[in-house]
Amino acid sequence: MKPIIEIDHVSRIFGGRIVAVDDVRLDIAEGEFITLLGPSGCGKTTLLRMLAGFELPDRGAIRLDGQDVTHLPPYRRDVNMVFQDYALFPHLTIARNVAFGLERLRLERADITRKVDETLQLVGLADKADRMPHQLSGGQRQRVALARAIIRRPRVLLLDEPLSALDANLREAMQVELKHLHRKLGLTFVMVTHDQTEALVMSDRIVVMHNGRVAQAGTPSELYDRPASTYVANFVGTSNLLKGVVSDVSKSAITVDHAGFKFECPPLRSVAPGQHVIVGIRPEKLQITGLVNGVAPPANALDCEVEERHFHGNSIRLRCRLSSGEPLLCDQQLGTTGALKAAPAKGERIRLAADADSLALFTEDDRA
Amino acid sequence: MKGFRLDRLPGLAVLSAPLVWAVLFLFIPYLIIFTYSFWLKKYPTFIPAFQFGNYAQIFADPQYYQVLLRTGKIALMVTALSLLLAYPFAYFLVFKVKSSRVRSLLYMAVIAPLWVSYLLRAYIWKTILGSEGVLNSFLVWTGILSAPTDLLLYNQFSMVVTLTYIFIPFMVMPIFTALEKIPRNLVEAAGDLGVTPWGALAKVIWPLSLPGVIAGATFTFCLTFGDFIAPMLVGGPDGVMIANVITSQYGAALNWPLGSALAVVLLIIVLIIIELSDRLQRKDRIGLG
Amino acid sequence: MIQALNNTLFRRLGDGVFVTMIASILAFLYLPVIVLIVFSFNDSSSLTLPLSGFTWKWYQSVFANEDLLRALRNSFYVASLATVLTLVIGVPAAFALDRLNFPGKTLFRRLVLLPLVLPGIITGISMLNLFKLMGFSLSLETVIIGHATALLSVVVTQVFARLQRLSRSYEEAAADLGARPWETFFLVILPNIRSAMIGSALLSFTLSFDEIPVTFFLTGRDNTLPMYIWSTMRRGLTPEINAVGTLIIAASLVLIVLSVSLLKADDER
Repeated sequence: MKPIIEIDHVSRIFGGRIVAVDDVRLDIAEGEFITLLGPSGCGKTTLLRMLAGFELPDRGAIRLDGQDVTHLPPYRRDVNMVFQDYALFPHLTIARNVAFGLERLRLERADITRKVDETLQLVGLADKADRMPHQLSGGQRQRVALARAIIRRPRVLLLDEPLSALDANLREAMQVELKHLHRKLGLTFVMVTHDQTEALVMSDRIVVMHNGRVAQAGTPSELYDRPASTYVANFVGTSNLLKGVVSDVSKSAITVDHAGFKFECPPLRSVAPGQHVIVGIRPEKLQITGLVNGVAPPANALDCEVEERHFHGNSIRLRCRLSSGEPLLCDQQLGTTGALKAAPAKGERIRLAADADSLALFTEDDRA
Repeated sequence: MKGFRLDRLPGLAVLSAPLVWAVLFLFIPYLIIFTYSFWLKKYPTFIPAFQFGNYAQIFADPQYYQVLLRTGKIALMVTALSLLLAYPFAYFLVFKVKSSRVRSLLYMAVIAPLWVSYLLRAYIWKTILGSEGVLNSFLVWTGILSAPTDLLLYNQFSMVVTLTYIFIPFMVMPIFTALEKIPRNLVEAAGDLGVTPWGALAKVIWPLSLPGVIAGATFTFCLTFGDFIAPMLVGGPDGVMIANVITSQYGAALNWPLGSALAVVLLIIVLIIIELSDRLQRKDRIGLG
Repeated sequence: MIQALNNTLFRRLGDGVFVTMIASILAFLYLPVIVLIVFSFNDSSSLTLPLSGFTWKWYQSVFANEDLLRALRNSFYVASLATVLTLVIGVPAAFALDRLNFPGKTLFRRLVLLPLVLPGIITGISMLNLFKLMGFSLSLETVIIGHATALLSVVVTQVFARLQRLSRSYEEAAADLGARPWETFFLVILPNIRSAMIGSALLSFTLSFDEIPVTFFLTGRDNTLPMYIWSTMRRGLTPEINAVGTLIIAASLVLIVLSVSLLKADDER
């Protein structure tokens, strides 16, 4: 399928020195819900603003539906944006705010009124049409911003941290609602967020950005299960990262030594024996296989001492320390009653093991 | 920053009128004054030249440099008197008046005269202080004086009183704003730490309000320094100020080059004071973090 | 015990000082105004105490004084046009200073704001030089240009301050929704700086109405009201001036109330 947006080797350099976006290549498919994820300063917002036309790339091109829009001003692009601070015009009523985009198209008055009504209905604010923005709650303003942006049915809807100003409960409800809206309208959504949970829940595809570059792009599960770098492994979810040395490379596995422990990782990377690597293990993939006994641990098993226990409600996080001195996190689900009691106590020495499939292997170069 | 900006053409359209105005009515006129200040007076008008005679005259002829000194002295006295009256007033307003309604009402009462004609405010004092004036007639009427005194008007005293009366709102405004910005809990914290009210004033409030004081003093000083209406109305022979001399050079004396040189001197003095005050305020701001 | 007594005593004393202080400053500011008003109704033509009796005659002579009324009309003409000019030039200037980048911006800003801090006499004589050089004869129109130049800074500072508080995202949102730059300006920016514009226009009008230093140098045969009052004043003091003054104060009061309520409206938003 032809992409709706092509970002073609785009760079943006502020003041001739600060590289905000660095040679980004990215295609976005029609109807996709894509999220640009990264910490502040990673270039995700700048990239979004270039899609909207608020910033111009210093290098590269942006194509919308095959047409080069790189230097087109915002008012000539068929994209609309939901702003982080909503940017509702304070001097206009809700209805006039929502109508603003249609009025610019010189539509018939009756047509505009009908569409505004429909759209306000869609976001559940039909009764607030005559209010002023400052009379609404944060969540309601958010919906108005959304209504205003979708009323023109743009080719692409841009969302700049749309939920960051809402409190936790409302945010979760709005995540679901946005997702529904996406499906209902069939528009392409491009969202920027620094919240990995939000990205995982909502997106068809996530683009993790780091220092102006794309660190990894993929579906949420790809990103979570097969992070391409330690950076992604740590930014999306949590990972235990253990340094080691490759001791053997075979067709079926790469064997890595870490302070007397052995990992057999899936052979997804080309490494040579003797190379320094990092093994990543998600805390929840570690199973308790028993207490430490005299027998040397098998491959993909680790012996450690529980130092702290943190109760998380549905799970418990054990902060352990390996005999090598490295810290290790291990999450245990508390699915059954009594599971909490059964969890290892502080000071206990336990053996943890992970499936070979759940191990990620990174080379030193991935540290970005 | 090259980002989303107005299209180049509307940008130019927005800028063109103000730019033309600023060049034509501000830049060129200042340039003309500067140029004239080097020209020569030649009866009945003046001729182009490049010489420093006008400046030399200003700093050699006591008639001129003494006026400069006197103007500075009067401006300083007005500034000091305004500060003396305005600071306690603003302090009491901000820290002692409990009701915010009363506070803003009293504040407005001090600012309101700014909206009332400057000329009237100078005129009022002429009617009050004159030998045929309200105060004299009151003093004679009540028997305090046996005959009207002319000590009240047409001297530096009447100038200072009148100019203080006119410009005091400019002192109150920035001080009030600066004091209002001081967090109450800072003052309470000082009290909590056993600092007396006077100590808090000296150690906490005064230093924090300094930017406002500097701003107010700069306003008052500069406005007084360039004034020529009040001296004409209530000043006597020893109340002539620099702006009056400029006026007469442009008027009866018909010596525009000397008038221009005086104007340049006045301009430079005012600009230096503003620059200094800017730096002081900036330093203070940095000092506060 | 004694300490506590001392403290109350100190506070009482402090309160006393405080009330006296405020009262005396208010007296300093307003007694003269009261004197002005009282004498505008005093029967005697000399401004001396004791008062001799109540009269309206000074007001009658004000409204019969053709010269004064003409000066008043001139002042309205000058102040209105000068205010319009300050807005027409000042609002784009403030906008350019806040939103545009162009070479010489710092010099431009300094030039435009200079009259705010410079004594009026400098603006007056510098423009007198210009007009003489260009061969213009002095008239009310030259006064208007002079006032507009001197008061431009008032509008620029007020509108600039408002623009600075106005989030950029409004403009971006407007452009995003298809508004061309001029539509953004008229539909989004202008309505949001309206109160700053009206406020500064009121101030500009008042200051122009009251202006002397610039007018002094730039006016031809026609007088503005303050120039007229001034010239009468130098000839001698008459209660007629008190009557005019009282009327001006009344008008100023209306303006104050107007501008304060405008500022309030802005705060509430």
